[in-house]
This record gives sequence, C-alpha cells and structure tokens, in this order.
Amino acid sequence: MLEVKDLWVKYRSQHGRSVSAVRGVNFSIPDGTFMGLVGESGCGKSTLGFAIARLLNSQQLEISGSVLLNGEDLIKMSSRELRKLRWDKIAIVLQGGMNAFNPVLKIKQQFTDVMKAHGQGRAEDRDQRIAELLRHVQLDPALLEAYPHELSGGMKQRVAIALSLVLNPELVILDEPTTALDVIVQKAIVEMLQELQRHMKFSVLFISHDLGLVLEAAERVMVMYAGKIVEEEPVEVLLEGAKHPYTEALLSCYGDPQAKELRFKGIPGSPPDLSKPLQGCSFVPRCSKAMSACRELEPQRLELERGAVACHLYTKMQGGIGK
Amino acid sequence: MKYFVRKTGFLLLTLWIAITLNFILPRLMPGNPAQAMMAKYAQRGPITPTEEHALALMLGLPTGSLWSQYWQYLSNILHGNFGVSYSFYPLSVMAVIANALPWTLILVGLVTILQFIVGTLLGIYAAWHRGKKFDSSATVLFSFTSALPYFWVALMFIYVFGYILNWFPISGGYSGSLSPTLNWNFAGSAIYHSVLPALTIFITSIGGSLLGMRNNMINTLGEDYILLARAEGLSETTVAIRYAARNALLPIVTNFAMSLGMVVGGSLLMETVFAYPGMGYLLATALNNQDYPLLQALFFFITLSVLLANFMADVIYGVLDPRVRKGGAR
Repeated sequence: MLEVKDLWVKYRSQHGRSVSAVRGVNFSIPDGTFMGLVGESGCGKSTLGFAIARLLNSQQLEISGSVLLNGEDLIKMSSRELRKLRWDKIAIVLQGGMNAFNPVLKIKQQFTDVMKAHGQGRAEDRDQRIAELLRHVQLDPALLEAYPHELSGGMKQRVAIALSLVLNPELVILDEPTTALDVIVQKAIVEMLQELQRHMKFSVLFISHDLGLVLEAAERVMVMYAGKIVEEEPVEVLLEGAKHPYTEALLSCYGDPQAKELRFKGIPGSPPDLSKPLQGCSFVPRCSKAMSACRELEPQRLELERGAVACHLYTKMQGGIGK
Repeated sequence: MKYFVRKTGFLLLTLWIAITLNFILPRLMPGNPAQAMMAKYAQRGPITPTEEHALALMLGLPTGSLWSQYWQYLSNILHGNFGVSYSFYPLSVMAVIANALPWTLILVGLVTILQFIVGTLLGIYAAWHRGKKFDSSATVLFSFTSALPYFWVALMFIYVFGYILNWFPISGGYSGSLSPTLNWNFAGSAIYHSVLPALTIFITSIGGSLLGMRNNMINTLGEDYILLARAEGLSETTVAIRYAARNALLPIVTNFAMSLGMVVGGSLLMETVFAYPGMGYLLATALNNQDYPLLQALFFFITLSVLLANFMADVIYGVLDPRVRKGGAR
C-alpha cells in the first residue's frame, strides 16, 4: 500500500524564482491496483512519479511531505536503506525505453546487474528467471544475448517491463511507457501489462498524457493539473461523467465514435506559471464554470463516495464555501 | 570479425598511399641534394663533374627510371633500408632513428599514457561530484593549465628548477660523462634528466584529458539508463563506472589513440627546448641540415605510427562499443 501525504516538490532555480511542480498531493494506491495518472505536459505528473521513487536530484529541489510504502516513509530514508528497497519494492519503466538501456551491455548483463545488486547469487537461477520473464512479455529468450540497439522500440519497451518485474516489486511506476510507440504496439503493450498485473498482483502507477489510453488501461484514474490532483475516481465512475471541469474538458477532446457529426473541443488558454504564487483555483482562467469564490480560495480535496475532487462546485454542495 | 578485416584492409591501403606520396613529394621538388650541396661548395671554388659524380655516388642518389626507382624504394622500405643520413654521415638512417626512437617512445609515450589515465580518472571523479569543491576548483585550474603555451611552461621550468634552484639538469637525455649502456648508473641519470620534460608535458596535457572526460561524463549522466541504474538500486560505483564512465569513455578513446600516434613524431617543442635526444629533436636536426633520407624515413615512421594508432583506436572502439562492431546503430 502506497500513501502519499501532502507532497510538495519545489525546483530551486538559480535566478531566484523556484517552481513548485507538485503542490500538496494526497492519494493512496492500495495493493494490486492499476492506477492511472493523467495530465498535460508540465503539470508535474512525471515529477510526482520520480518523487515517489525518490529519483529526483535532491541538490536542485526541495521535497516535503511523506511517501509511505507499507508505513515506511521513503522521504526520510537514508540512501543505504533506499538502495535496498529500490527495484525490490518500487520499479520504474521509462518513456519509450529508447535510452533506458546501457548501450554497451547485453540485455542479460543489465538484468544480472540488478539481481546481483540485490543478492541473487546463483547464475542458473538468474538465467532461468530472466528467460521466464522474457516469455511473460512475449519475447524470445534468445534476445538476452542481444545489445539494446538490436531491438525495436516495442521490443525494448517489453524488455523494460520485464526488467521492472525481475525482483517481484510491489509497485511499478511507468512514466509515459508507450508514448514513443505507434498505437498498435501501444495497445499490445498495455494489454500485456494488464495481464501481467492481474497475474503477478503488483500495483501500477501509469503516468500518461493520454486520457483515452489511461481509461482503457487503469482501474482508477487521477487527473493532475498545475501540480495538484484535481480529481480521482474509478474509471467506470469517471466514464459516467467527469466531476472537475478540467476532466470534463479533457474528455471532450475525444470524439464519440457513434456520433453522426464529430466536433472536437480543445481547452482554451494554457496552464499557469508555477513559479508564481497562485491565488484561488489554478484552473480559473480556463474554466467555463468559474465563480467568484474560485478566484479567491483554493479548493481543497473533497472525498466523495467513490473518489475525490478539488473544485468549489462540489464544496458548495457540501455545505458552502469557507469552512 | 568482418569489422577487423575491413579495418586492416583500410590500414594497408592508406599506408600504401602515404608511402607513395612520400616517394613522389621529394621528386616534385626542383634539384636534388647533390646539387644543393654542390651549390654550397661552389661558393668556395669551382667543382669538376667528377667531384659531382663522386658526391652523388657517396649520397646514393637514385638512378634509372622513375618506375624502377619506385620498386627499389618499396623494397628498401620492406627491408628497413632508408639509406645514409647526410647530417650523421656515415651512420645509416635506421641507426640514427634507432638511437632516437627509444628516448621519445619511453618518455613521451609513458607521459601520454599516464596523463590520460590520471586525467580521465580525475575527470570521472569531478563529473560524479559535479558542482562540489573538487569539481569547481579542478575545472578552473585545468582550463588554465591546458591553455598555457607549452614552450613557455618548459622555459619557466628550466629557469626555476634548473637555473635558480638547480634541482634538475636543464638539457639533454643523460649526463654527458656517461655512455648510453644498460646499467643503473645510466638509467638513474636518464630518469633524472627526464623529470622536467615529463612534468611539463604532463602539466600542459592533463587538462585536456580531465576536462574532456568530465564534460562527456556529465552528458552521459543525463541519460535515461543512468536514471534507471540508480532506480535499480545499483551501487554508486557500478553506476559511475559501469554505466556512466564506460559510455563516456567511448569518444575519448579516439582522442587518446590519436595522441599516442603523435608520440613517435615526438614532442618537437619539448625536445627542442630541452635538447632531448629523441625523434622530435632529430626531425629538427634533419630539417636544418636538409637531410632528405632522414626526413623521408622520419615521415614514414610518423605516418606509420599515426595510421597504426588510428587502427588501434578503431579496434578498441569496436571492442568497447557493440554498435560500431555490428556496422552502425539502427
């Protein structure tokens, strides 16, 4: 079980203005859950993912809040404790897998490096495990002897997923795992990932800018805007109707395949500058339902029956603004 | 395997072209060495055709058609016969080079290797701890030393350590009272004489190695596979060496092999400033005395070593980088 509580990430800038990429995020991922995280470029979704895995360079930023994995706070851990936990509990998969492998080492060596670092000593056991994983991701175990540049983009991403599962992690964070791939390969990889997840029972944090893809892949979705989670729900609830105006706007970017006439709407305007202090709701300038309260007070996360939303439209319903 | 065969073929081809150019170039120049010498003597008095012929025979000037000269030239090279040196007459060119080569190879070769190893290791350290104290001071210091003109550093060292402090000899490869034989006495003297030349080369060249490696490594540290290696919980040393330095080293290897190739050509400036009895000094002597056979042989050896060094760089690169070996990245 992963719990993130009031997590802030502030990038320090040498020119004085620091940028808050993640602004007080709260959520939790129960064991064995496929969680999606959607947002547009620059909303802080990758920063959030890397912050959870403690992969951000602490010299350039400030992190506050807590990331609890089974009750242990990763933010407070020493680097030695972290190193033990890395990959064993939390693994990551990077975008496209293009440069995710050391170009001078064979695929097999990159697997064995991890396994050795975590004390898996016997060579035959390791070889067996790697071959088994490659079969899980529908690849020929002979690829073990290949170098990364000999694989196609889709193959690399499958290998990257196999590599992430090598130590049976509790949580796999995938940062835009299919963005560099075409839609057919994308779909195949997502389906494979879902199957592996059901089978091996790890939880997933699937980060993507593509709401359609996330809705297809995930059980629960979080929508991020300007460093905050604005809405979180099970996929089927969100499909019945988005709560937050931003999610609604995102959904309207997709066409209904059954409609006679397709009309797409974009979202006018652009996200706010996160290096400046924000007053009120960050979505106000682009929101079609903005009220005067939205400009003054920042909406707080409000737990609903099956999800959560941070929007004054709902605070009002629950008993008025300003509590 | 195919890669190495291709590279060997390329080596032989370029070598042949270089040798042929080395044959053609002196023949494109007007006159010949005997005429040049004759012109000098003619100032003192008239020269008879018999004397001119005798001189041509003594110097071994070529006769016959260009074609037969060329075959003669090729076979001479294969037999290591480069003729007689004019300036060191009656020593053969091979003997003169054999005397000079070890000095340069040992001193300049060792220093080149040493500065590369030390510079690269420090570069790795600086990049890994970038922005920290060592990195920021090393970057400034070594940018400074690598910009110093070599001859100035050498002269300052001679002035300070040789002349004022009198710690080290100011010139030569060994003490004039000894003869070059293999014994401790001579070796000690040679090492003592090599300290200043070695130090000056080391100081002026290490900056390049350090900064080159540092900058390359910092680029490599931004790659995804470094991030992934850290996420995998690999030890700091594994990430720094096996993942980052290993990849950052690739472009550096070429530079290093090139500088090794330059070793045989000698450090012309160093050997001139220190009157060090190596290849560079020999080259300067040959140039000043219009010693054509020696020059031609020196050019041959310099070309050969540069080509061999390039070949070595290609081979090492092939071993280090699988993408090159298999004929280019896809």
